[in-house]
Amino acid sequence: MRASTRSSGLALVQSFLAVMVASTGLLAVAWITGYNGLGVLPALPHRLELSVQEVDAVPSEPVVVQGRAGVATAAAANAITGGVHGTLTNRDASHDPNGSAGPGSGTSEFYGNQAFLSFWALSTPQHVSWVAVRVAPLLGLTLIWWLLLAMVRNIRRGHGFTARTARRIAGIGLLLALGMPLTQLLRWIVARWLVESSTATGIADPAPISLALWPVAAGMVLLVVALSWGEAARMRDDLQGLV
Amino acid sequence: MSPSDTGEAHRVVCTLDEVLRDRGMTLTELSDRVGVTIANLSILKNNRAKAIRFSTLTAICEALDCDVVDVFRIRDEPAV
Repeated sequence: MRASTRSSGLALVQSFLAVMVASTGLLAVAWITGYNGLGVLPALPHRLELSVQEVDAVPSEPVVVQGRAGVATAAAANAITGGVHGTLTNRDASHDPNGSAGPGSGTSEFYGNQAFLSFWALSTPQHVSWVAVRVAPLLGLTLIWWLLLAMVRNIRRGHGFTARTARRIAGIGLLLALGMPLTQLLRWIVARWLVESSTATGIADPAPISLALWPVAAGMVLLVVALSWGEAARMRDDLQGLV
Repeated sequence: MSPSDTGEAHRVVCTLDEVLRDRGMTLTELSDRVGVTIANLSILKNNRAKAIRFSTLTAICEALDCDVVDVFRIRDEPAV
């Protein structure tokens, strides 16, 4: 009973992983073959736009707009709402006839100088680079799903504690610890290149790079687990044939 | 690096079969006396074992009333 529950649970996980391999792989293919890639496929149907609209959209990057132009949007929005004072006044007038309510979620103020910059006439190397830094994480993720799928398949066959599984765990660890920061860095470098070679240079800077540390930490943990797993696999090999 | 790390062939031969025949004892009987499964004793008897616990060796020698050298010997040529 317990073994069959475990087996059906693993079968479910295996099915889920297979779906994830297919979906992330298809998304990567959509990027490569879509409007911003090779352009061999027509634009995706409208019903998919919510999830993959960037695939067919004009290349764009988040930027920080310099000077007065940068804060103009926030200032204009604050002028409409009246800023903090205005939202408090509006809130008191519309929602709290007694005027006893204090500041809450209805109190708001626009700030910041961020915007998105679209590039309408990229050169081929720029276009390819812009797509490549978006496809690379998808390909990495597809590889991770595939490695997980292969591990679960082996575990279901009773071959979980092997050196091959240890290598697969190490592979996922490396993809997370090195691949994620590297693609984030490359994405920022490409964004900087595009912004600096566009008409917006001198007005906008690429959005600051945000290197997430959790993939590095998770990747390091997996590398340590892989080392231990390899040791355990060797010990299991030694035990096989022990009487 | 130990020999097991390199996968080096050993030259130990188990002569349990001969000892059992001399004693007129079956593998099943030995299994009952020693407390080791028939499958594992069969692995040992057919020279497919890679290692043996001292406790198993002691139990086998006690059950068969023999010494370690009666159960194992070193072959002249390396095993293939």
